[in-house]
Amino acid sequence: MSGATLGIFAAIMLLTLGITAWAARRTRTATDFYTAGQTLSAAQNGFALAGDWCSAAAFLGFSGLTALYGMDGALYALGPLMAFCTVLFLVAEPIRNLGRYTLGDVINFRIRRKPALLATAVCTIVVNLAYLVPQMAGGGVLLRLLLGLDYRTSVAIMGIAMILYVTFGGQLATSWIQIVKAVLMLSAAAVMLGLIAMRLGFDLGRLFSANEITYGSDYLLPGNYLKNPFDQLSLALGYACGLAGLPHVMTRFYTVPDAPTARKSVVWVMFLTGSFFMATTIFGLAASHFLGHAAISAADRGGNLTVPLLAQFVGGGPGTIGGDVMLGFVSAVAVATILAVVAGLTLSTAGAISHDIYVNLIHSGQVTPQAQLRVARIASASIAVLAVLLGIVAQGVNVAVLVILAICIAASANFPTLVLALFWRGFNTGGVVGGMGVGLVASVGLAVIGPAVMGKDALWPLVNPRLSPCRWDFWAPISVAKSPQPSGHNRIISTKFNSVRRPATGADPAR
Amino acid sequence: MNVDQAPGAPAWREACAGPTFITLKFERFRLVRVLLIVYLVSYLGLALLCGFARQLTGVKVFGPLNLGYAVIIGNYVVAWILALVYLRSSGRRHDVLASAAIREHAASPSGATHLP
Repeated sequence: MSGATLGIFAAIMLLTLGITAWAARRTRTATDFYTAGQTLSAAQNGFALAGDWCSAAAFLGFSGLTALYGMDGALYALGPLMAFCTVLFLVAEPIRNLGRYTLGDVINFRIRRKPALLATAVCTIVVNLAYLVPQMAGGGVLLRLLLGLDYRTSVAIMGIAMILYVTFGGQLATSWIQIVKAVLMLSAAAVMLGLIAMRLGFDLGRLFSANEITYGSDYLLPGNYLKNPFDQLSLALGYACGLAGLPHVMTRFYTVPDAPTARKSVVWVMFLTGSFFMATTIFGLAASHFLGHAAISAADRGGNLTVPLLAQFVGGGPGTIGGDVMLGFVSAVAVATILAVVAGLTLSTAGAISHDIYVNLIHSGQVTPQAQLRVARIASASIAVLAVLLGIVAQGVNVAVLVILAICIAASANFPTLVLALFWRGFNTGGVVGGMGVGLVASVGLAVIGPAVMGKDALWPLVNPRLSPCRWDFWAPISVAKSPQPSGHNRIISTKFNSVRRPATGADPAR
Repeated sequence: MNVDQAPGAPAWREACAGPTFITLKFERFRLVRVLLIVYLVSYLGLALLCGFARQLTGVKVFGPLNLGYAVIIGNYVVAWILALVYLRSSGRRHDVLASAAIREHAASPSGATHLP
């Protein structure tokens, strides 16, 4: 790789480490560590959410899908924006009003029973790890391409960066790294969009007509990638319910001071990621027009290098200064993307282990503030080490299935449990455990017998195993909650006043 | 033990029965219901269109733009408009009602007692 690429990459790494050193001096309590002291503004949290949610899969994958398969890529890219509607209308504000650090807080507030908290913490950890491993593997591949290191060294470098960011800088460093990354990503997209528009004489409509002439009218239709019609519906439902159940996205709502700020930050992220994802569709169509399918597939069969290749092309082509700078910039942004997403995931998983399991489950909340901070730091360093080991094991394995699995578990286990805990008075411990258990087992089961693992001989036809679970993911927690409970598990009265009133108003009479 | 017989039950029942709180719950529910219906019809409608009416999505509606891409762009616009409508209504109406409900409860006789 060229000197420009290396230079830009080194500059971004130095910047993130500088942020970490600055944040480390300001992280003194567990609240600082998990939530940056709840001091972020709506715009800051909106940018950080954009940094957290636009993973490398989105940045690199959606453009590649659009370039090679046409409209299905655009449908994948639309989902993340639509998913935030569910978050905005149903969960963002109640979560902010109820919890402190984790998803487990919300369940623990509503149902003060240890089995419910344990089920929530386990689902959080499984979802986060399933999301984390593909990020580590993708980052390893990208660093190998960028710096020419071997895969294991690349993954280990990411792990070390992770330990430094999260263990020392906590949520403050993580948030600012996500903000920086979001700004870099959006400016890279804006520059590329400008260069593409200039080449087309500011007539984006030409992308459609030119691609239609080259690849036929079928290219502009859906169904080239998602061949089963139910897969389209499954994908949409997965987005509509899955994002609202992702623990690392939820954690972001605890970094703002109150519910109105949480709400405003969602609107910020909807405009930021919405315009970004719309741009990935344009990049895909532009790459298909300028570079051609053969060149895109030759670089990477899945089309994952579409955006870097397109950046190089619009910068002036291979070998030119402009082309090298654009390629270096976009590749470095892709690495920064992975670091930012992994930092958020590590922090959220550390919260489930140290706050939910160690502090609330084992010690019933009776842990000194100093010990809480120490345990949180140990937990995040351990997760980073585990992530490195899993990332190394995952080399060469098709890890894309894990992202699907993470969103599927989030949609079938976390989301229904969360919504019922927020809005249904009759919800109880059995409902949480039953709902989480059935959602988890069903998602893992369907993913294992689906096309992503079994290929053409799959027993279950859909890539996104979402459609069928959506029938039982609300049914399971409701029916278990309605069945007779072991004695003691219905005693939710002490929190009942709060569980009805506090999500809506934010009032906390106990304080 | 029945939930209504637990200690503190009368206090929470009274606090949740405040007229401002009821208004808040009702108005929020009404708004969210409308927004959710528009959102789901628009988004799931697109998924159904693409899944089951593949040829229809190819009809040209605006220059080189076909129906499928036009509906996709429409969905971006719908999501942004819904977000702004929600932001505006919540800020103008629900936040005001929420703080009024808290004040109302604090001023009531049971508001002074500690809720278990």
